[in-house]
Amino acid sequence: MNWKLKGISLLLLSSMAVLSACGDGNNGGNSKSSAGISSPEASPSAGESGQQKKVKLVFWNTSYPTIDQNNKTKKKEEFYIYKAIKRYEEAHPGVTVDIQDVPDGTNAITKFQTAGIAGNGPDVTNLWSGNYTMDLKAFIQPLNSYLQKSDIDSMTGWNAVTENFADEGTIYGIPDGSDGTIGILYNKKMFADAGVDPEQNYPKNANEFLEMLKKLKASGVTPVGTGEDGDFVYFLDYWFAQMVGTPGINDIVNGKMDFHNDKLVEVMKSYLQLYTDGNVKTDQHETQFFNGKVAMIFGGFNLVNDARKALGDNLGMFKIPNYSEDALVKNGGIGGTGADFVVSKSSEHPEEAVKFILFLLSKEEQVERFKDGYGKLLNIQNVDATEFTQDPLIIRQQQWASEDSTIFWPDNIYPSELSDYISSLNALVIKSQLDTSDFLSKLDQKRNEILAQK
Amino acid sequence: MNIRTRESLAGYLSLLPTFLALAAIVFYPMVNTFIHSFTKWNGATSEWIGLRNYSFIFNNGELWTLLRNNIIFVLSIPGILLLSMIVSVLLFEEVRGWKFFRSLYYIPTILSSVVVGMLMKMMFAQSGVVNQFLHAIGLSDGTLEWLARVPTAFLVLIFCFYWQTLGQGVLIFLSGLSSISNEIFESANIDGAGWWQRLMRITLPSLVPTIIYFTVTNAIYCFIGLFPLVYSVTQGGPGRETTPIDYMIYIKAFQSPGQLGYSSALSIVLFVIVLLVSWAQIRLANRFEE
Repeated sequence: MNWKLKGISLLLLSSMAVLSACGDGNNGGNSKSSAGISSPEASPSAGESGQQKKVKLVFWNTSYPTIDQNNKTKKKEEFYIYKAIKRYEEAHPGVTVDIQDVPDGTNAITKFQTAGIAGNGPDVTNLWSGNYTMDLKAFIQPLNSYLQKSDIDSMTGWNAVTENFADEGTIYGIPDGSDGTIGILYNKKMFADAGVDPEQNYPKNANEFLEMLKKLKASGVTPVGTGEDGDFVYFLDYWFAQMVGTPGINDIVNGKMDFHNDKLVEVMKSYLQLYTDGNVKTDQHETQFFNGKVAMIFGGFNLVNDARKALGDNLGMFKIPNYSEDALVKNGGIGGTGADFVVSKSSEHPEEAVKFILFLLSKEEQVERFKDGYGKLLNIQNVDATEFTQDPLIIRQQQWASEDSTIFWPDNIYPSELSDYISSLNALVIKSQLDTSDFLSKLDQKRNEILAQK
Repeated sequence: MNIRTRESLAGYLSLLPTFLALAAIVFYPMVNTFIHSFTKWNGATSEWIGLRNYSFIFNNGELWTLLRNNIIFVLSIPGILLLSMIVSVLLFEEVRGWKFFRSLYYIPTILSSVVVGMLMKMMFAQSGVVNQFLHAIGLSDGTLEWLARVPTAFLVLIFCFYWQTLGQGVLIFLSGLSSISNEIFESANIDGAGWWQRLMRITLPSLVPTIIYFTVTNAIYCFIGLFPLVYSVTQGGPGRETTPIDYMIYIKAFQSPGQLGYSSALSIVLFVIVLLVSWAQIRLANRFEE
């Protein structure tokens, strides 16, 4: 073989080596070993019993803040999650946690799914709970065998991570705190100027609520601020769930009941009236509220801290009024455990991963992260919020979260594609570009399509 | 082995790494997508369902809305074609400040579509600079919701498309103009042809191949390249009114459980559409060229 052929053969072999290295996605999972995550010394098969087992957990962080928009010089080590990981590593010699920030929400779901297909997911990550998690169960470790009864008994929100939202069954995640209950945050001064006291004269139904908004509008202020999609998941969903009950929401999802039914058509009329009467501004609603440009917004615990900073004692809170006195669920709101921690099927250390998650969700750590300003309440059983906060609104939020009338996020119960579709169409409804009746019919059509493709 | 055989072997072996790379990066995913288009696939397990995915695509009515959205973008191509030609002719004629404008028009091309999209989203927000400007000159009350309404949301997306494509278009047409022999222009000058006659009789006919190239590549872009713009500006909304097919492929693949098979089928449908559109354009262009 002459030098030319030798060179070509060498080039060919090296090309094939490169291609085979990037060709098989399943090797991704094993690549952790080569990256030193599970070194031969660390492997139980190494059989070196005297040596400390070394475990490296990869944690895709989708929810803990690691950047301070107001203080870019703040070091990573000063953020809660880095301090918590340090505490965990000190308490568990041999375990290190490699934290990697990834985008949250639907982007996190996309990233986790693609990693799952490639077989190189993280050990631990945080996802939205309910169907958002269940949709990915092909890539998630069932956790029942890693959890003690005491772990389950100490926390709330397990329905959000258990298959079919049942009390018992296959558990795919560990509930991450509580979002509290979505209510109405309001500017006390604006309300007082309009002669309205929502807590003393709490509106009994949608009509009284609309009357209240009329008075606010007459005083020269914009009564409500909502997101561009009309706050469907915060507000409209609540009125829907009130009228059909939580079993009704399940019936809608399963096709036993239609969105287009008399009760929900009626709800849609009142909902649309909010907009057609000119009560609502949809442009940067939170900022507008903090700056005193709108009188109220729909929100839960996650907004209380920022609103308190902006409005001080001028901040008030009350529950979203019942749609009607005939509602099946009354005096509640939407809320609960909107997110969970999961262990990916690619994880080689599921037991250690669960231990790490349970550490993060221990009462002490949940209190620590609360003090750090993280936007979640505790999901510990029988927790007394006065132990860690003096803010009466936050104390009230923690109480509301544990009430039976708090309905678990319906958008986490609907198939995720349907939730996305509702939000996008709702933006057309509030701009009067789509008739409310057509809106409900389209939702039924989409739901039927999804069921037909199951 | 004689020298001719050895040379042939060396030639084929030299090409092999490229073919292997193409096979791994292009052909394998294509074949894989085609096979999965006949399955119900969640990324981990798949079940053969024959033509059911295709049947859904053509029967649920969504495809026609998506196609309509793509076609609206395709119909906007003549506008950017004309704009690119005008600007490139002006730059070619070296109007005052042409060096500065050449750079200015090219800058948006080097920005990623997501950056352009985010920028436009901020500019066209209800309290964005566009509304403030219109309000300041008395043309609106400053509350126009550009992205919440269908016609204006499309206008914003088409504006983004134009803004980002202009630099590339000008570059393509400038290279087309540079390839026209100066002698032709000089002869035309001697024969007394004016600027307009030179443009209509020499420049534009000489640019036909460039126009074809620009039109075909942008038509393909309007079917397969809009995702980043739509994702960052409108997210396909309001409703599904600005959702093109490639964005729906993303929604079905990553926001709908177990729909990777459906998404694969939709990808194959898009592939066939692009193939047909390109073929039709090239056929038409060839006839026009003749």
